Amino acid sequence: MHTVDWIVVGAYLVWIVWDGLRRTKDADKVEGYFLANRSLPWWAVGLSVMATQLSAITLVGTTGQGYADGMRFVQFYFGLPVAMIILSVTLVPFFYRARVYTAYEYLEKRFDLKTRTLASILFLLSRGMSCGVIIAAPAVILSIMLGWNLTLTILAIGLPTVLYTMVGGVQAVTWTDVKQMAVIVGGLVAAVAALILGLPSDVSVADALHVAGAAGRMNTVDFTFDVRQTYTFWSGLLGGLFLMLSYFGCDQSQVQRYLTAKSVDEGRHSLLMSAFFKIPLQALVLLAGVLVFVFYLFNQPPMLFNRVHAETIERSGRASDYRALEAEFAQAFEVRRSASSALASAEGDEQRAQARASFLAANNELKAVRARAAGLVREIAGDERYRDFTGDTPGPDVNYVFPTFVTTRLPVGLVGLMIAAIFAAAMSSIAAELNSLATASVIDIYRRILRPAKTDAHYLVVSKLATAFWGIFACVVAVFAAGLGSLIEVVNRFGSFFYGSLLGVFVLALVFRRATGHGAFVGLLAGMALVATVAFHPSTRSISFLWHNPIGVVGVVVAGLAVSNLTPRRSGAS
Amino acid sequence: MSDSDDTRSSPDMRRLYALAIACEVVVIAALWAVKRLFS
Repeated sequence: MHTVDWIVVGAYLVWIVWDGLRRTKDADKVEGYFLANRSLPWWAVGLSVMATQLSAITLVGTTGQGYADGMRFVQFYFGLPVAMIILSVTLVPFFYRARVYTAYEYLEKRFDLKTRTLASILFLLSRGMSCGVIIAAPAVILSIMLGWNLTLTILAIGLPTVLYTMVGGVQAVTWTDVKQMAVIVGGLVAAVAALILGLPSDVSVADALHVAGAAGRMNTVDFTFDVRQTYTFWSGLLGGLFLMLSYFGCDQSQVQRYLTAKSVDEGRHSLLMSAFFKIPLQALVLLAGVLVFVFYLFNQPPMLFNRVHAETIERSGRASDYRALEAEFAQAFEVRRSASSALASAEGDEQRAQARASFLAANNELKAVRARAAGLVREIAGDERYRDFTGDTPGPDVNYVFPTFVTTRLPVGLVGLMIAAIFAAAMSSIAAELNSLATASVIDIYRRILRPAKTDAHYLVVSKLATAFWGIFACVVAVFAAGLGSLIEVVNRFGSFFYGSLLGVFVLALVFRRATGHGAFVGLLAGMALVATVAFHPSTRSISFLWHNPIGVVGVVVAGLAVSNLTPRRSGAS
Repeated sequence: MSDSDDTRSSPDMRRLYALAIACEVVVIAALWAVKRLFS
């Protein structure tokens, strides 16, 4: 990396840590530390909500998804605006009126302590592990792309975040999130501009999008109803709706963002900001990926984007086979480049249809060579994940597409800005998660169960220690998770078991007056068991994970109501 | 913006909800138009 890029990344880190450390206003009391005394403006909270959701995995993975599979992933967010409105009408005013610190505190007010504690522990387990994954995923990619030491990369992302989150609490998290969103959006816009300027002089943006469309990259809306397909209009609108309701309504890392707003209406406004801007923002991220695809139609891409495997094969006895494949790939690329130019300049329906057919044939040839390279990876490196393809790219390579483009094709300065944007995306999510993990640990477990009657100063010290503990825990998990691809999947799976079921408990709380604490507790366990069964049973395994959320809700409500009918309602439940 | 302990949304908030839905419909229609235009 060029010195200028190092300076840009270094300046970003210093700026964010300095800004976070000086945001300690009101952080001398527990309510100020965790909720900023409910005093923050809606626009800052709204940007914090968006920054928390947009992790580095989203930034890097979604651009890769755009490259390999096109715009269809945007449908994943179609349920989000409706979810935000439902939450603004239902949970947000309830949380405010109950004056809670955590979403799970509300469950004790409505049901009982054991339901609150179970929900909080599930959150702590799930988010504690996923926080490590959020650090590990970009650290692995950056360390491979830039040749950095993996552990040092994890520490470079994790330690500054832990420092300012521990010292400044939620104020530091929110105000750094605002700046980090600016870095992320600024970097993205600059990357899109560089991609457009990098098109060949005889290819307009419209021509480029026509070629991308011919390769199936502009499939933005698909009205097919098929539960096995992950990204369709219906799975996004219905399955995505439940996922977003769970994430924004029951996940403390998001609930805590809008609990810091000045009033109920400001909390609602902060959520509605995502309703207005999330889909366009994700479309921009995906468009960046589609433009990278177009860029690599006219400039030769690497055969495999994750260069670690290429290096492993180079050192093996099959190096000559791999080099022969690379020569074949270069040839296939030249054929596709000519076909792409012909398609971009084609006029009239007949000429366009012919050019399109030639382009698709050339693209398939290139994919076939890549598939053989993926076969070598499986054989030599033993990485079985190279059996799956996303579009025409091996699945595990998808996350390396955008970083490869950034580090090898962007001009000096912009490389640093994009690396800073990846850091910003990771740090904003991690900070919010550490802050919420500390809140749930202290408020739901320590203050409620372990040490109930201590002073505010005591809880403040414990809160800072809890933030530091979760930060160190996340870094340790990240170091281990980095070497275990399957662990990342396990963590994500666990989250999906838990999300729909937790939403089901809140549905029981708000909609069904006769639901009891025993019903909610048993319902939560039954819902998780049902989702796990659906996810692993051979006959239902093909159902896309987005549908697990509504299944979890239904499981909890049905089991919860059945048990509630058999048990007496707790007196004093509100 | 008004602050209230009332859990019901004010008319201003309800108008904002309607605007958010209208905005989503327009965005999805625009995405669909992009697909029709370039696929």
